[in-house]
Amino acid sequence: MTIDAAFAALVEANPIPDPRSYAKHRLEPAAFLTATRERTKDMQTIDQQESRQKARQRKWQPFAAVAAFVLVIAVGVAAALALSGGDDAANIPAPPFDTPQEAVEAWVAAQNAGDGEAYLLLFAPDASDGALNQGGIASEKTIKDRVEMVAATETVFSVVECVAESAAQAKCVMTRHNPVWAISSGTSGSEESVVLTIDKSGAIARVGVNLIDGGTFDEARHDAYLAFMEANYPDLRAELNRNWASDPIDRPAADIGRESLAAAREFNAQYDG
Amino acid sequence: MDPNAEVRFTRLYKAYYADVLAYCARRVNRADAEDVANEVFTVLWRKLDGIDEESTIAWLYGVAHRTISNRWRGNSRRNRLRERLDGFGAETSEPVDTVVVRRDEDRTVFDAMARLKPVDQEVLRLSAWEELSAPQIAEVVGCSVSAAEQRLHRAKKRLGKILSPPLEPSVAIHPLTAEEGGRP
Repeated sequence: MTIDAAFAALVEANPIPDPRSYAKHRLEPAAFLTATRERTKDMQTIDQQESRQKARQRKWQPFAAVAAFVLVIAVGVAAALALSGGDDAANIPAPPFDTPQEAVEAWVAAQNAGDGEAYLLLFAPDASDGALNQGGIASEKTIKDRVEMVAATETVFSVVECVAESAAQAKCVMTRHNPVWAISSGTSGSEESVVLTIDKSGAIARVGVNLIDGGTFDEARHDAYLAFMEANYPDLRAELNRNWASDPIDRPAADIGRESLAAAREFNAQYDG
Repeated sequence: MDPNAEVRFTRLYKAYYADVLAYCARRVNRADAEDVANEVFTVLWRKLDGIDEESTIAWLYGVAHRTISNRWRGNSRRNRLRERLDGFGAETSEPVDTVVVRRDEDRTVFDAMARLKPVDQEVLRLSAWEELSAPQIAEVVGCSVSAAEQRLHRAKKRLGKILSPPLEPSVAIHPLTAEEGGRP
């Protein structure tokens, strides 16, 4: 069969030749925007509820302030005696979280700190963590390794914006930036959509992650990186792309782990030389 | 947000929603396709100020492409893990071309497509079904225009080669020997 005939056969095999009739039951744009605004309104409602709670709390503030002062002194003395020095893990908030946004901040902080122990403490016992891409089924060791490796490879998460979809669920946009990975593959990091839910106990029950924007991919640079690894570090090269075999829209990935971090830096120095 | 943003969004939504939904439905099942299409237009609403209208459709396909790709990665890893744990296959989001086969000719084409590399399949689909040009394909899959052109050309050649039936083996004609009943 000629190339043109093969291509024509593919055109003919289009499963949805008429997109207009396929989408005839679509949501109207006004309804779509209303749904988007409803999410914003939910967030405002929660803010108002929190404001009212805070106003009620203010009535007790004069009495509470005295008690708190005494308590702070006592806790401060105890902490000074108990702790030998500063510890980043102590800065990561732990459950119960009052709002899903607080949980998002703690989730991001634990990953940036590479603190696997603190990360595990954020979750309810039967939680599902889509960030691991393992359907929520993973051993504690796997989770800790993953979180620690994220920080070891200098990946930094940042929350761009966060909207409460309900009192228990937040939908956020966050960025994931890894300077070494970015240089090796030419991407400028990625932007992701995160849906995080907390349960009644205030612990994280579910995290779902979807990629929004993977950045611009420099294919030539990535090919050069893989060739460099093949020539100089064949054992490490075999480990790259190990998780991407069944991707239907195959996008090469310059995965970098603890072992290949130094090699990636070496490549970057040579390539930019 | 610009007061005209809603008008602009409505215009883009009406112009492109059907195309984006079709793009998704050609690659994943209907329920997932609607989820992804809604996700794409949520991103459009949020990033409306930075959208170049001349390349909107390629930009929208690019967002859909990455969203589907990420979902599939999650699904495939989850399914592999479940298979290891349970000993049998788990539910998955079947791409539409594995479940919608209208004619035998289409089945042949889909079988041939399945033998190509995933990236070759995608550039062929973008060209044949979404009718994108090489620069648009480059924007969707995140490569240079020349790389998209080369990849598309190679993919077409490979598809043609797979769809070509093998040549019949040639049969040599020899005269029968006397033992076979021929003339001595």
